[in-house]
Amino acid sequence: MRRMGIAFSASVAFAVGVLTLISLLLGDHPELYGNVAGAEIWAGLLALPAAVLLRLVTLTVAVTIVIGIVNLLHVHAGRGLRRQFYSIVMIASFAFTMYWYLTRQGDTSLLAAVQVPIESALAALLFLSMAQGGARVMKKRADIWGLLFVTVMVIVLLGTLPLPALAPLREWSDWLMDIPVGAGARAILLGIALGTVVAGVRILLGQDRSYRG
Amino acid sequence: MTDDFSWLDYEDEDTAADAKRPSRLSGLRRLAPGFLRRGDSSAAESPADEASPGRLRRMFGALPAFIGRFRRARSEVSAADLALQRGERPIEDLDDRLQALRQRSSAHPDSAAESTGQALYDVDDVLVTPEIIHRPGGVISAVALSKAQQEQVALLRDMVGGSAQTGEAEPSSRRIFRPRSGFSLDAAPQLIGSMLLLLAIALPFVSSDFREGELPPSEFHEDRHGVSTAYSLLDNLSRDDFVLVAFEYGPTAAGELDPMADIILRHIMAQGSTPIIVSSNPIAVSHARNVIAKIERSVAPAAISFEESRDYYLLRYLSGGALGLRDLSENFDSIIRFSSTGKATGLGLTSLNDLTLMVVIAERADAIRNWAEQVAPETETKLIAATGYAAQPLSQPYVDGSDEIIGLIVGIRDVYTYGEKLGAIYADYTPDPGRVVEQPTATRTPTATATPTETATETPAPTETPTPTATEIEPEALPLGAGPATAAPATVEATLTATATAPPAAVVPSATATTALIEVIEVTAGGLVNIRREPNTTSDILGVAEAGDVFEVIGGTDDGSWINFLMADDIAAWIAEFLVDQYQMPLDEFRAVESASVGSAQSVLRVEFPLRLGKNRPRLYQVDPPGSPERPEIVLLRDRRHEIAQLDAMTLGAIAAILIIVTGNVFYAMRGLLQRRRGPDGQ
Repeated sequence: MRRMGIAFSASVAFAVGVLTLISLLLGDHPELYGNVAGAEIWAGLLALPAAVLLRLVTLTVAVTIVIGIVNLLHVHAGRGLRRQFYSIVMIASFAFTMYWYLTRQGDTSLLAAVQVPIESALAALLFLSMAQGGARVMKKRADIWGLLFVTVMVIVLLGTLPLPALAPLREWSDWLMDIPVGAGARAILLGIALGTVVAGVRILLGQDRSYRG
Repeated sequence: MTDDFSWLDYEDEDTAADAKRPSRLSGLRRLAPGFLRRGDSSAAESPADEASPGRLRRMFGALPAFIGRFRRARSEVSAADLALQRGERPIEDLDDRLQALRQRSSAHPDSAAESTGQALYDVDDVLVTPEIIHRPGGVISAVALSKAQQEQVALLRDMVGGSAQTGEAEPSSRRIFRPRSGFSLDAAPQLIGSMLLLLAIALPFVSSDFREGELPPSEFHEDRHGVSTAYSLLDNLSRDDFVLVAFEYGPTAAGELDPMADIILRHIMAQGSTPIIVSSNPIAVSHARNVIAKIERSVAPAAISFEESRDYYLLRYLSGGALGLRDLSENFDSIIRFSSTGKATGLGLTSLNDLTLMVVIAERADAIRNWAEQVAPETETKLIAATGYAAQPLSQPYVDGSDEIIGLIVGIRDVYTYGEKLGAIYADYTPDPGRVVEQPTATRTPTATATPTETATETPAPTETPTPTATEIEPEALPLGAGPATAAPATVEATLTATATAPPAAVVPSATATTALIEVIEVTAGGLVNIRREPNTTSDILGVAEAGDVFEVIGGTDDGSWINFLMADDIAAWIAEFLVDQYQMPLDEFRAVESASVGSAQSVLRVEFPLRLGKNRPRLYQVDPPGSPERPEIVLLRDRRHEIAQLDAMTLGAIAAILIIVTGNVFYAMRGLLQRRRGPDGQ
């Protein structure tokens, strides 16, 4: 029975995946059909499965967010009953925000007054951490690679400064950003693309079955 | 076929039951059990499989069951497996030096000695034998560990809180993670560094005396064609245009990207266009509402108010990340039907092609990647990308590699330049206190045809407003003498629609007669001729001109073969002398002729040279004459009080960070060198 379940779910995933792929590739592109009669109609029909399935996916994701919220509340409610302070604060904040938003339609001042400043402050702390971290690169490894790392870092930073005296360094900085960094960025993006293709193929072939949970 | 790795399928007595489970077989085999059985039976029959148990036992000894499972789960092509397959090499195959070393070690009288130092004959002079510390009791101390290893174990134990379980006394050398009460000298450098950084960032906001470095330029750098083009596209928006603005950033990046979103939204709305805001980030949808509210508060003195579903649209959150964006491109008409609050928008757009522009303001490169992959290929509408400094490196390849994506507008320095450029143009439109600002109509649908508008100024004839789009022209379509045969728009005068005020004098050709003569060139060659950045044929093409176009001369080469002149937007350019006639013309006559000339479709091309490997084909964008602002107050009333202080804080902060980084690393490098000189014993 378990094997049948696996085979069934894999078959459904395979069928839906292939259908979506065909629909995205051939749908809404009547020019691909040449002079075939009714090309527009066929292209429109082929585009339909992808549109419907994508809509289903986005709705499912939206539902999972609701489920996530409910689960979060459930977990913290349990902890709150055990008098865990932060869970009580979380539940109270949730209730207050819900009340605020429902009674003042469209008022997002809580977001502007609380969440944005807090998150911006946390992001600003990153600058201090990065600077302190950059100062300690040679602490553990005082070798040629550490020196190279620090040198590149300082050149790039100096190149960003709008000081006329540093104009020659700006060319070095631009070169570093355009060539090595650009090459690295493209390599990362190529890796992501290849990884995505491989993951898609593995799911279509039934080797990855993450959809079974 | 014999499976060379089949000996890995050896089943230890303890692991036999586990090994029979099919869970580690490939998914394809699970779908085809018959194939799986055939494969297994052939493997079981192989001689290697029969000989393997003894071999594995010798190699691993009696291993626990869970290790047996690990062994089976290991990839067949892992380095460890390949190493295991290798048998011992014959002595004859060894390198001569290794053979000699082996013979010497065999012949040495103390080779059988038990001490570690003697076992490492000829090597112990090079390697520093770690000091072995034997400590009684405890799980870890059952193994003899070096001092360094002991410290690492102590550190790990501290981190996981294991010291309570072992019950050992804490060694003095051990690092202890405890909240420190009071000031410690160890933390002094970090504290001083942090204070220096905070001071450098805060000072520019306290006093304008703490200013270092130059402000960003008031024009985008000439090498940044993409940003200039993005600005021009936004500046060519007009009434009845709809722009999709994607807020792809959360509160974390609000400090950096809010000013960018602010100025782009102001520009769009000042031009009379309508932004449609979407996001795949649920918080960003609410945050966009705050940004709009902030703009509305700033323009309140001009009696301008915004109303959702009239001046702007805020759509619901696109769930599903990249899939949500794909859903947007596939089901655009249904997604824009409802606003974020669930109300009907009344928008009559049916596809992304009905939009005039799309703008993505993204915190992370992933968001730009998703838009570039899921939305941009599905429409002919151009996509402008804007982001922060952190996401620039990974976002840039998408802008360079795609003809559909324009940009990249990066960080607050570009925002400053954008604001300067916009302010300089809009400064001519001084708000009239008595002016009644007309609000746009409630619900509008875009029209595919050009909207006839009457000009309030003296123009040659009532004209049709050119469709404010940037049409990318294939470079192949523009060889010399083979230009597009489209009729040129007749005017570049600003056309104010339904506003009572007269257009600014700066845009309208002056009616004052001027008798001064200026040197001009008139293109006489047939077809289209190239306008170049430098006086040579290998230089970048800045645009093209056609017969009859007239430009003001500003110089030329010594031999007279190239002429330097001003093209559209006062950009200095060069043209070959044999393609033109040069003569003098009265200034007022030139202004009239220049207007028609510059307004021609062919002479206002913007050219981009994307950074690409291989053949570098320029992108040519036909940019229509700048649209006239409907509500310039939206831009003029922008609060720029802290803009310069922010830039100064960024500069001073970067200087402080560089100082800290250099000082810290010099100190640690010196310390490292001194320690190396002293040796491992510290002497």
